[in-house]
Amino acid sequence: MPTLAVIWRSAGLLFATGVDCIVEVLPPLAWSPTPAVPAWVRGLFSHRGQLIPLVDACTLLGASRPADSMANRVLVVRCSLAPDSRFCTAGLWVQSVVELDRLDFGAAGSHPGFATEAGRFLGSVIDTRFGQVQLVRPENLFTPDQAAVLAERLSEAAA
Amino acid sequence: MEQPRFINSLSGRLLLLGVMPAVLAIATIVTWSAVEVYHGAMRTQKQILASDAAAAAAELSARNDRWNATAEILAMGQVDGLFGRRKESLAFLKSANSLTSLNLSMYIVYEPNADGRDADSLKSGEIPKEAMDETGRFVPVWYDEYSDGVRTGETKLKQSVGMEALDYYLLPKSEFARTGKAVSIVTEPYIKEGETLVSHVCPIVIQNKFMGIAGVNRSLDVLTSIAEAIKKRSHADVFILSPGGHFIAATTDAGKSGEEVLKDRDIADTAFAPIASRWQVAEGTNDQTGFQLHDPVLDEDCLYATAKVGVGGWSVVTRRPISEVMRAANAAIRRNVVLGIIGVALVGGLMFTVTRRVAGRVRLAAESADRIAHGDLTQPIAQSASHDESGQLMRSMHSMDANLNALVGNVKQAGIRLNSTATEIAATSKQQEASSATFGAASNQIAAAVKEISATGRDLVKTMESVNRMAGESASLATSGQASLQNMEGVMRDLDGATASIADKLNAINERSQKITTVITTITKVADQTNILSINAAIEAEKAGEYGSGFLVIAREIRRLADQTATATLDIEQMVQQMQGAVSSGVMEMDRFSDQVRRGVREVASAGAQLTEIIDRVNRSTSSFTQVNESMQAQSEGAQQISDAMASLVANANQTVQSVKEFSGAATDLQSAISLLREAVAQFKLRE
Repeated sequence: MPTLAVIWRSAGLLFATGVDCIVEVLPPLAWSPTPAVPAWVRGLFSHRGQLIPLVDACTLLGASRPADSMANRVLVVRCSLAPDSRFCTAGLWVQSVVELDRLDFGAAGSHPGFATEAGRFLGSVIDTRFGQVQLVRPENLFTPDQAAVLAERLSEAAA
Repeated sequence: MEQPRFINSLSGRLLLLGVMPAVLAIATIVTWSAVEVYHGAMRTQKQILASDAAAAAAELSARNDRWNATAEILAMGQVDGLFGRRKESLAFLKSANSLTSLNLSMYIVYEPNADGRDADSLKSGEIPKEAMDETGRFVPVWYDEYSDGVRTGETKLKQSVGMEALDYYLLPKSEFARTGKAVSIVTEPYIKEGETLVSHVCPIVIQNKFMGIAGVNRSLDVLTSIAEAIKKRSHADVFILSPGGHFIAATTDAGKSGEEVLKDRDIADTAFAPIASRWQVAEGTNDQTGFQLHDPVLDEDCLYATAKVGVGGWSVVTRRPISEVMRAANAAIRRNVVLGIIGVALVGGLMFTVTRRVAGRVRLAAESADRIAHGDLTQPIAQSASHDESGQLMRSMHSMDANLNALVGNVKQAGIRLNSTATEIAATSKQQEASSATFGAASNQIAAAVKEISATGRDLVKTMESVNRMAGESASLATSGQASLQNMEGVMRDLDGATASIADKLNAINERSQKITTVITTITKVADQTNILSINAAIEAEKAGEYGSGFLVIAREIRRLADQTATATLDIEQMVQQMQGAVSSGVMEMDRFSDQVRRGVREVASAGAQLTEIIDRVNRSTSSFTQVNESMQAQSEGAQQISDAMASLVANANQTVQSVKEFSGAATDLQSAISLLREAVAQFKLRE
C-alpha cells in the first residue's frame, strides 16, 4: 500500500520516512549539547516550548558527521517508548530533503533489509526514480532500555 | 706457536743424532771388543792347547828316541863283534837290562841259525836253554821279575816267542827289506800280563844281510803319569793314541767318575768314535792352532789340539771345554757390556739434560722470534746466565729485541712525522696543482679575454667611427623625439584621468551587486522557507486524509514554485557572483592600468629629460669621440702585445701544471709508501 513519505539524504544514501511518523520538517536550528549520551545524539533543542533530543542521522548510520549547511533539515518524528507504547518526539538531523512522494515498501521486488541490532530502525529497500531508498522507522530509533529510561523520565517530568 | 713432534724437535734430533750414534758406537765397541776378546781368548786358548800338545809330543818323542837308541846300541853290539858269541852277548844283554830301574825287558833274536851255531849251542850247553828255542836259535830275553806288582830286583831269562808272527820281529825285518837301512822302530803297543808294553826294535844287519833283531820292551803305564803332569800344567785333558788307533793313555781315566776308561781301547769302540778322524794327525802336520768340536762325552763344545809324536808315530790330543776356557773371557765380556750400558746411560742422561736445557732455550728463542715475527715486542726476552752457545743466543735475542724495540719505536715516530710531512707535501702539492690549474685556466681565460679585448678594441675603433657619425644623426633625431615625448606626456595624463573615472564607476557597480546579493539571499531564504512550509503543509494535508487532499495539491504546487524560485535565485546568485568577480578584476585591472599610466607619464617625462641631456652630451661628446678613437687604437695594439705575452704565460702555466701534477703524484706515492711503512711498523707492538 503506497504511503506518502519524505525522501531524505544522509551519509550519501537515500532514506524515506512515512509522514505518519513525522510531526514537521524544520530548517537547521540551534541545539545544545548533552553530556553522557551516545555519539549519534547531538543534544537537545527546543520544539514549541519543549526540549526534545536531536539525533544525527549520519552518525546513527555509522558515517562521519559532515559540516552543517543551509540544505540540512530536521525531521521532527514520533518515537515509540515501549513497553507502554507511549510516544515521544525527537529531531532527526538529515543532510537534505529530496522529495515528498508516495512509496510502497511492501511491493513485489522490495528487499526486506538486513536485520541487525545497530540497524533496528531500518526497514525495506525499494527502487525509485531517485535511486534505491530504504525505509526508516523512527519508532525504533531507541533501544528498549533507552526507551524505558526515557519513558520513566518523561513520566517523572509529567508528574 | 705450533709445537713440533718430538721426532722433529731439537730434543728429538739431538737425542736421535747424539745419543743414538753414541749408543751405536758404544754398542759397536762393546760388541767388537767382546768379539775380539772372545776370538782372541779362543785363539790364545787354541794356541796354548796346541803348544801343550806339541810339548807333550816332543817329550814323548824324546823318550821314544832314547829307547830306540838303546835298541840300536844292542844291535850295534852284535854287529861290532858280539854276533855269534852267544855267551858274551847274553852277558851284555843282561848288563844292559840291569842299567835301568824301569820296568822293561831286553832281547835279541837271531834269524834261524844265523850264526851257524844253533845246533852246537843246543848241544854244548854253553848258554842256558832259556836263551834258545828248541832248534837252538838264539832268542834270549832278560826281564825284571815282579811280585804282586812290585819289582823284586831279580833279572830272569826267557825265550822270545812268536817272532815269526808278531810285529816286533816281522816289522823291522820287512822295513829293512823295503829300505835296505837298519832303522829302529816302535811297535804298536800291546798288552801282556795286564801291562801295556811297547817294543823298540833295531835290526841286526851284517854285511847288508838281516841277521836278526835287538830290542827293548818297556811299559807304557808311565805315560799316564806323564799325561797327568801335562794336565796339571795346562789344565787340559790329554789323550795319547797309537798309530793303530788305540788309547795309550788318557787323563780322563784317573779320577772322573762316570767316564769310560779309554786306556788300551780302540778309539772306534769308544764314544769318541764320531770325532776320531779329526784326532788322527798325519806325519809332520801338527796342528798349531787347535780346533773346536762338540765333545760327545762331555756333551758340550770343546777345544782340541793334536800333535804327532815324531818317534813312534803316536798322536797327542789335548782337550779343554770352551765353557771352562772362556770363563774369564766371558766374564770380561760381561764386564764390558755392563760398562757399556752404564756408559750409554751416562751419555744418554747427560745428553738428555744438556739437550733439554739447550732445547728449552732454543724453544724460548723460537717463541720469542715467532712473537717478534708477528710484531709483538711488548714482552722482553729473558736473559740467560748460561755461557754456552744457547746462552749467547738468548743474550743476542735479548739485545736484538731491545734494539728492535727501540728501532721500531724510532721508525714509528719517524713514520708519523714522515706521514705528517708527506700529508703536508701532498696537500701543498694538491693546492699548488689546483692553484696552477686555476692559474692556467685563468691565464687561458685572460689570454682569451685579451684576445677578445684586442679584437673588440679593433671593432671598437671601427664602431667609434660609426658611433661618431651616428651621434650627430641621433642628436637630431633626439631633438625631434623630444617634441613627440612632450605630446605623448599630455595624452598619458588625459588617459590617467579617464582611467580614474572608469575605476570609480566600477566601484559603484560592485556596491550595487553587493546589494543584489543581499536581495538574492533573502529570496533564497524565502524560497527555502516556502519549500519547508510546503512540505509541512503536504504532511498535514496527508494527515488530514481526504479532507486535505485538495490542500495537498496546493502544497505540492507551492513546493514546485519554491523549488523553481530557489533554482532561479541560484542562477541569479551565480550570475551576480560572476559579475562581481568581473567587476572586481576590472577594478583591479583599472588600478594597475592607472598605475602603469602614471608610471608611463613619469617615464615619458624622465625620457624627455634624458633625451635633452643626451642631446646636450652628444653635442658635447663629438670632439671626445676622436680622442677615444685614438686611445682605442693604442689600446688595441697593447692588447695584441698582452695577448702574445699571455700565450707564452699560458704555455708556461701548462708546463707548471704538468710539473705540479707529477710532483703531486710523487707526493701521493710517497704518502702511499709511508702508509705502507706505517702499516708494516704498526704490526709491531711495543712495550710501554
